[in-house]
Amino acid sequence: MNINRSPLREQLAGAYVLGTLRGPARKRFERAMQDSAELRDSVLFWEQALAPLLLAAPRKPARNLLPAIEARLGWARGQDAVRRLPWLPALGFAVVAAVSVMLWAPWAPKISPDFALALATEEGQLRWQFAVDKTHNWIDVRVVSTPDLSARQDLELWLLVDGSAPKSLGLLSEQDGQIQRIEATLPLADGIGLAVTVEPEGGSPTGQATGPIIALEKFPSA
Amino acid sequence: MSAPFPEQAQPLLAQVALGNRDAFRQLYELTVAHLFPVALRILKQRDKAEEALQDAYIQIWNKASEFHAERGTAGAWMSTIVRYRALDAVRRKPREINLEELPDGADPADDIGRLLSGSDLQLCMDDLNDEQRRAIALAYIEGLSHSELSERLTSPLGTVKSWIRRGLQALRECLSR
Repeated sequence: MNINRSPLREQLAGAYVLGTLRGPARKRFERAMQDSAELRDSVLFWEQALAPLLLAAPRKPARNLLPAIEARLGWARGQDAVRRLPWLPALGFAVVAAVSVMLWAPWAPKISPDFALALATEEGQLRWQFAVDKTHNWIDVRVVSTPDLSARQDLELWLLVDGSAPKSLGLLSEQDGQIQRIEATLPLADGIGLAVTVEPEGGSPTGQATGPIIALEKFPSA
Repeated sequence: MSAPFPEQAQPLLAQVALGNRDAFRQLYELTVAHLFPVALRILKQRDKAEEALQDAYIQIWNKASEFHAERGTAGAWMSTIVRYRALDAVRRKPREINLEELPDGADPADDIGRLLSGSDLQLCMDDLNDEQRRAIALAYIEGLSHSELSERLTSPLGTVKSWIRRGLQALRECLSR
């Protein structure tokens, strides 16, 4: 049985999302989904198509669940935010940490930075190298390779701050090989990492990151 | 009355993807009353619905970076996560139905026309025959299995399965037009 055949695929994906596909058949479908982008697309189609049926009169649980959720996420006081972020491996940055050390050597920044950092996009492509100097409060960026963007998009660099929204550090140059100095107007010492998002031309209209995050890395001390 | 899912959830979700805990707390406050009924209508018991909701919010925190606005709405993404966690809980331990805890005792399948007014989904649901529409809505909203549907709709199992199969097929064709 080839479940990628279109009508059968749609039928199974529909039954999977509906929840009527159960037992071993559901397990088999979930395994097949891991290997098939087409199946995942069909599932996404049904999830989006049927979701409006879930609208209902709002109703709160009898108790506030947030403390229990935070406890299960391990957010006790004083714990480091970034180290606990369980989604970091999902973005594939474990690889980057290793790669960055090797690739760093050819470019020696002229300043004496506190530390160097490399950012890659999800597919493991090295994009930017950063030298962060907390004393002078600037960051030297070397653009290794710019991801594909439309003419109406820009790349914005963000300083991740624990406990509040990321702060914009401005737009990144989109010229490969260019070295750009970003003089930060906010203290870099407060940051715990850097992230890059795709934003509308000219940068985020709201002052907060609105586009997809394409790369993220924590500071070594964080 | 139903209420639309808050639009503010989408930018908050983008912040959550960046590891912003305050954004996550705001997202919880903003969405919990919309997501609790999703779990409650499947699990029928408050405490179980609350447990499934906790699981769902943990997954929302962990997977926020996988949400892409161009591929769907934040409301659909979050509600879908809650549904799957509630369905997991149902499969682990079949529910004991306590009708008093149901949101309003009414059959949610009766509300769908009002909930969907004007949407593509409504037009396509309207194209189904009554049995197909009801079977699909009950399976989706309450997470009923084929045999539970057969009991609820007092119809043979094979008939219910065919309503679902034909209903899905007709919906798929209609929605891709």
